[in-house]
Amino acid sequence: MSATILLALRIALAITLYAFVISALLILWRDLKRQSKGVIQTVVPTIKITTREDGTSESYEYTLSEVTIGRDPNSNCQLDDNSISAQHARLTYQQTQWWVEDLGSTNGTFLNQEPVTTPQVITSGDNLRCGRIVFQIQIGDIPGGDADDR
Amino acid sequence: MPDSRKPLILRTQTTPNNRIQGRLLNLASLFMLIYAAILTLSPAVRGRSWDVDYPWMHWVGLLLWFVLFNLAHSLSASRLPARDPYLLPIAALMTGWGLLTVWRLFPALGLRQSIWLIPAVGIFIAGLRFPPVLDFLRRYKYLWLTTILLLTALTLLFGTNPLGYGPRMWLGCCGIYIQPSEILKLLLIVYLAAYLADQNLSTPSSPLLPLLAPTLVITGLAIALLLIQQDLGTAFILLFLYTSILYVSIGRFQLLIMGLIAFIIAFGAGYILFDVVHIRIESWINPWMDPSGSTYQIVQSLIAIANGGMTGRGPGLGNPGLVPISHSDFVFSAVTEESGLIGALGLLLLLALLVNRGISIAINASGAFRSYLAAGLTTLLVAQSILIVGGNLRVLPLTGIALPFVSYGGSSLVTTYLSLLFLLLISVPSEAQRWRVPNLKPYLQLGAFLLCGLGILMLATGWWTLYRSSDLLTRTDNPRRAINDRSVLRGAVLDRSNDPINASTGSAGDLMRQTFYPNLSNIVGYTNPTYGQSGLEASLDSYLRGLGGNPGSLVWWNHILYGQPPPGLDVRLSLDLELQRIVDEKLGDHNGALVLLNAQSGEILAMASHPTFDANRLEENWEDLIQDENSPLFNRAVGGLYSPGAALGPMILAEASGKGELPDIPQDLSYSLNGFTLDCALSPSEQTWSAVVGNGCPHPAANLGSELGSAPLSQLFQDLGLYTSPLLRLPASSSTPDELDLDPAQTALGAGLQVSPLQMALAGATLSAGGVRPAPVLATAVNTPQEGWVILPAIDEPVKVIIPEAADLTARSMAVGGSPFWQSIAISPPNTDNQKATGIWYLAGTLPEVKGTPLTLALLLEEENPKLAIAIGQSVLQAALGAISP
Repeated sequence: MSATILLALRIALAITLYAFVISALLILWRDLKRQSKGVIQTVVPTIKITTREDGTSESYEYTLSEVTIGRDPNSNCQLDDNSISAQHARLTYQQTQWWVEDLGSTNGTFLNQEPVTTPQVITSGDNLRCGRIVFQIQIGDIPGGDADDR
Repeated sequence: MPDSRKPLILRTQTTPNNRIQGRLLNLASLFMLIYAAILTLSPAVRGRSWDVDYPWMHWVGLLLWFVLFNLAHSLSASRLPARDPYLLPIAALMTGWGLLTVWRLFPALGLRQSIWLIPAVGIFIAGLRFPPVLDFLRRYKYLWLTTILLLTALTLLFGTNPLGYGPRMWLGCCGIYIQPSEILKLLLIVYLAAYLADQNLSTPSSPLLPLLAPTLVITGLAIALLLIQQDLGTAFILLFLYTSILYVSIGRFQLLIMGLIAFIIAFGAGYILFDVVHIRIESWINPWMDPSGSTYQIVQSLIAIANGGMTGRGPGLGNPGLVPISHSDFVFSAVTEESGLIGALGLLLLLALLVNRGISIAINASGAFRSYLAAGLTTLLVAQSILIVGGNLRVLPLTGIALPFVSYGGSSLVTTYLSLLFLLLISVPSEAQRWRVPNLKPYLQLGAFLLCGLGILMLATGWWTLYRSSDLLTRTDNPRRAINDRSVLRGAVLDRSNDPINASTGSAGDLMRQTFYPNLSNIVGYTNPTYGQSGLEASLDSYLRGLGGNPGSLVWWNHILYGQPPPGLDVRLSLDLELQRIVDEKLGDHNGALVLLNAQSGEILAMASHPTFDANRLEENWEDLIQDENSPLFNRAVGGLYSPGAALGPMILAEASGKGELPDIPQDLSYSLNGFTLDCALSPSEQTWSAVVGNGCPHPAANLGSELGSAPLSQLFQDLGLYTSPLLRLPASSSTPDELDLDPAQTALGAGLQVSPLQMALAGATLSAGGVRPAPVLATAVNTPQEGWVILPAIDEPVKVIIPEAADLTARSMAVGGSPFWQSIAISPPNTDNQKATGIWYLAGTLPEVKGTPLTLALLLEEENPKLAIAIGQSVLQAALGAISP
């Protein structure tokens, strides 16, 4: 009896081991396919940033793979606001995802009310706040669409 | 179900990377849980009872593993979201697997290893918070390297070994030991990567020597230090690392050739200079030469691997502790024995994944230093694994290095986790520095080389676990057989009325083999954990062990469940313990052998070889027994070969009288054979053929031979089975005559021929069984669970030798007055030039008209006392007739 239970456990053990190996290999394989696709079409999905300030809204669209936000005139998204630091935050497209990272700003960067301390992934519909300026993020053409599918 | 993908304790942001890492870590945790559960339950299977002590302590290690890797997961997820998500789970799985394996082997070492996991993973976690550590290492490369070289050099002076013997490669104090050579490997890679990254390697034709001079000096120094310490495995790894990193960075083919030359020189020098290398190479080439001495480790390792088979015995259910240092150098054999080919392939696949990730990280690294470092670290982890696993599998010579992540060893664990940390840090893409690998080819070649190595190891594991498994497991130096004998009931050896001769007593786990009739010890034999098996215990082992006679499915199912054979089957012998007792009593302290058989069926009713021994007291008497010049362990009845002299006379007489007129009886009865004057055993009372042949007079026997002629005589002897070993499920001896063209007179006296008492009894049976030599039978039936007692047929066929009438006539003519049997007696001349007779042959059998079982008896008494031989033989035969005949 005990031996049969243990045999079942031993089979489960082997299945778990191979589930680990095979799922790792599968993900790697999918990554490889996506990467080879990515090499052919290195199109960065457009990121659209909409600011809402005092009832007015302004939209910026970028097809770059790196968008800097700050008061500095060299920033891609230059905003004249006292709560914004010269180099405030950076949006980058890496590994088929858009990421946001804080560049050591005075008033901080917040993603969906959470402070950004390490690079974070952003998706369509996210709320991004730099200082007191709030951005609405939209990636790609269709609101809420997944960047990967493009 | 996004929830199921969340890691178990700490919440982290769900990015694809973190999700992959979390999912893989969950699988690793599940693996660990199942493994630990099996370990806890395993004693129930071993003892085949729920009432056993269950080990729980290893759950402490599991808990610690769980906490540490959850911390590592969440910290790596939040600190380095873009890191490679595979490395940590691979490391966690291999570490956990190794941890539980070590714990299962030696709980005390398991605890130590668990404690070592805290600094190892602790440094890893701390390093995650401090990514500039790589630049720091690069900047002060000479400082680090000098420090560690000095520390390694210190082991030459203050080195010690935690085991108390062996190479002294540790620096230790207060119970903590550090092996500087482990860290040396890591820092040498850092140094080489940093140095090469600082050079301008873009011009392809620049001379190599000035470029490489500093690295040559430093690597040479490191290798020299390790060679002095006799840490040859690590020295070889350094050489391989050096070549790999140079090749990856410089990408010139000539570097590989230089590396190969350096390797051959080092190998040759090591072979000449160091005994250790010499021994390792010799035992690699021929491990079977000294399996109890210098090649003990490798042979035991291969047996353990073979015992794993396809599925493995299951965690806690094998006996990997039988391989020396199974917790460190031979941890792969331990894993394979318990997890089988399936588990071993899984482990090697994890290493293959590591190669894939490592090389990919090196190619995508953000700078030359990082790229070379990643390639070097991957090579370190995988090449070391290949070297030690290859050693375990006899693919490569054995070296004493650790299997990264899995083996026991604190320094190795810390170094491995430092390597992992560096790889993880390098895997984070950096925007600051854009750098592209100038030449991909060397990286891909390195990766392919490592993968090929792992592939060869997979094939080798398959070879030993499947193809060579049964050869290895039936080796007598496989201690698992003796262990199985303690826990699985071995079949009993019974006499013809099912009275036990040898049987196992006690309860499962503590079974002992016992002999109920010790006088048969040199015939039925023994099965002993120390001294192996002998006699019928060895030749009937397959039935007694339950491997033969049981349905294949039952054997297979028991093998899968318990790694043991099913309960053994009882075997019935033709021996009659009652007669056996009489034989042993009559033969007493006289040296010799006696065989009593049923002349018609060939069933051996009693067999004795004196002196004998008591198999129950083998341990205390072994030394005396093997030194005793009377060879009590030896079965004279089937294995002892004696010169027949005139003992074959009755059969020759029967053959000759069947062919025609008999010649005249010579006046001089004695005969000179090879310078030895052979006489009658007793003086014949009358000058008749039956009287002179029955008393073993050689000259008449020789004349009968001459009368028959050379070829018919040889044919007779062949039919009597004197030239071949009797086939009876017990190894028996025979001799082949040296010269076949002998004078027939000498042939008739057995010149150049030696026969065993069993052969003589079978030959004599022709006179009691109407001229037919029966096929001998000793094991008559086996008790199978399905069909009950199944007859074991005789292996040999009966042979018609002598015309029945002539055989009957001869038997009657040699009848002992008033008794229902015939007899003959002869001197056994010396085997060698020794001028002393070996002993006396006594051959007797029932007369044709006797109702009931026809019997034949052959006795060889190793003393020249014909009267005693007759007394023993007659009393046994009379007792047998009384016991058997109605």
